Amino acid sequence: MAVSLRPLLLLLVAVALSAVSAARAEIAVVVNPESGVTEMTRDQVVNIYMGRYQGLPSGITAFPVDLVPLRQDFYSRLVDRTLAEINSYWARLIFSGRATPPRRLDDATAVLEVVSNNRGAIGYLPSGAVDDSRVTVVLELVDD
Amino acid sequence: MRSPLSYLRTNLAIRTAVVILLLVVVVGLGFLAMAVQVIQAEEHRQQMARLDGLLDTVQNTVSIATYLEDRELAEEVAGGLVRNPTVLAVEIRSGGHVIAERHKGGPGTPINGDTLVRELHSPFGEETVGRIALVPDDSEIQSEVTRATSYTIVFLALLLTLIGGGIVAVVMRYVTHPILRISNRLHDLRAETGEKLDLPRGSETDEIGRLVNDVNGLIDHLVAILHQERELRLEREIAERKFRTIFESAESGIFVVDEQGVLLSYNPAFGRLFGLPPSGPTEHAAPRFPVLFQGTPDAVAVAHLLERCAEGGGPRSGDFRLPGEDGATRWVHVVLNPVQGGYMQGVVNDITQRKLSEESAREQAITDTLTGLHNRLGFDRRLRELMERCRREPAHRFSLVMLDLDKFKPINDTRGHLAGDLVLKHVAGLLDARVRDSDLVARYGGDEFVILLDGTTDRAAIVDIVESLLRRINEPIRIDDGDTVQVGASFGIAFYGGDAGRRPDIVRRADEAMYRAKVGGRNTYRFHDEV
Repeated sequence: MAVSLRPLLLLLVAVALSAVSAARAEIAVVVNPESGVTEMTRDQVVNIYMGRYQGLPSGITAFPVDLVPLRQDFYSRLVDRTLAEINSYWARLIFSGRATPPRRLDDATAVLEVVSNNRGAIGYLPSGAVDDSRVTVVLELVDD
Repeated sequence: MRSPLSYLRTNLAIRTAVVILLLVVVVGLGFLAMAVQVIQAEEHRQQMARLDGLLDTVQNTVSIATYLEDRELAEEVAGGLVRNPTVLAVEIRSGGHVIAERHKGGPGTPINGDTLVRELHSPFGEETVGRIALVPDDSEIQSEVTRATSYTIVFLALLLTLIGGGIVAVVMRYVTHPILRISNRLHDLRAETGEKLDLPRGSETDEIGRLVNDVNGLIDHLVAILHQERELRLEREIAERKFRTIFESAESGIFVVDEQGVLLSYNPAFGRLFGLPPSGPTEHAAPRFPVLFQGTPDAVAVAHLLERCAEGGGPRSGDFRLPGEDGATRWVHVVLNPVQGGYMQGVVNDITQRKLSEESAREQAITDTLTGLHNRLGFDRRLRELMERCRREPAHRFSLVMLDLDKFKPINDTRGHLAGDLVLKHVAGLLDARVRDSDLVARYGGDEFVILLDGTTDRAAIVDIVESLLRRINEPIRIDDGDTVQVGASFGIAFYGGDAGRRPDIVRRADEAMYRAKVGGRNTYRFHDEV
């Protein structure tokens, strides 16, 4: 029974999230201020998040993190894919070990925490949650 | 043993069948070649489409593999692809280097022109991140083609065999077989007996029927001609036998010579006439016709006759002498007639009897029966001949001596005609003895005689002759009863030709001179030009 209820729950979550994303117009991609990176192109961000490159443009090993509530909005804006597609993408790679999906964090505070404490970390936050003293915004994803 | 090829040449049915089947095979092979081409092209196209489909299937995964340069994922995809029978090799490149490569049957397969290459884009953008190349398995394509072709071959072969066989059967049934039958029948046909060809069933109205009818028409015509020919030959044989009988039994000599005069054939009468074998000339003994007259006075004339006849211009004839038995002369009349082919046909008749009677008749006509001298007719003829000669040869001349017996009439009256005749014969003998053979003595009539002295008008010589004649005539003549009688003679002489000119009245002039001699005392002579 629990299994059969899951799509319904997902739908409810999605509706709730879309309400949140509508309220926050922009998503900011952030890195550690000491990463040596101040700006990134969309492609560079995609390559890191989709596992293609393991390093930031400055050469430091990248450590991407997902913010679970903003994930759907982020990937939709970044690569125009649904979460299902993104999941399917990672599922294909599960056995090769060549790439691993970004670590998932549940709230913006955790993202800020991880990014500000790791030189190679890269994450994303709603624009309003960015604390400029702790992280550097390298790309802003506007709603199309 | 005949070779199959010779059957091809001599047997219409086999040749027709073989040619049709050959044509069918050639056409079949042509179609097959075309079909193989089409099948091959189509098969290739399908193969490419299948490969394209395969690529579509794996595109997403392989895009990801190249995007991430994930060798394991790429190897997995390549392994899956190469398991497909139509794929020979797979090569996946990411960026500039190969991240996966699979070959059926080992590495080293060239990426050739048929290779299907697809650029791979990033799953998340337009960026080209690599490419995948598929090499189709030609042997697989080929085996597919072979399979499809073999079906086509079987169907085509079956179809063409049926069509070819059908055509052969139809041609055999309607064309070759009837022609063969006609040909064989014609080969053994004895047309002269009036045998005919049968009309093949089913061909009554077509070209074969017409052929048979025409041949039968020809046979009819032929038989009619043969019949006619035979009758003609029979008629000719009868006619020839008739002519041969005539030829064999004719009393006339009949012969044929060629242009050279060589005897080609003659009948028994001819053989008898010339003393040749009666069976005709043989190859070894075929004399020339003129040779039969060799040694006779007419040999040249015969040769001449032959020549003139050979030159053409109708029949020629002539009378010729032949040496007969015991030295007598025989006469033959030869008629030569040119016939076709340069030959001449001749008829020879023995005319000796006719010649002889003609001769004697002519002699009688100009001879005085009492004295045996020429008569007046003989004299006239001779006179004309001499005059003619003088006309041709102006230097020629002759003299005419005319004499009349004196005192003859009383003897005739008193001693009788027999005594007169005796006197005339005696005088004739005297005259004839005194002149040359070339001269002529004739009894002109009654007791008148004439002498033609040919070639002379010499008065002295003539006077000599005349005076000696006068002397002898005046000598007594013994008559039957032992008595003697005496006569005299008056001579008149005239000249012709030379200085005397050619006055035609020589007889009148001699007569006139003789009259003058009588008047002048008888027993004398006068020249016509004396006063």
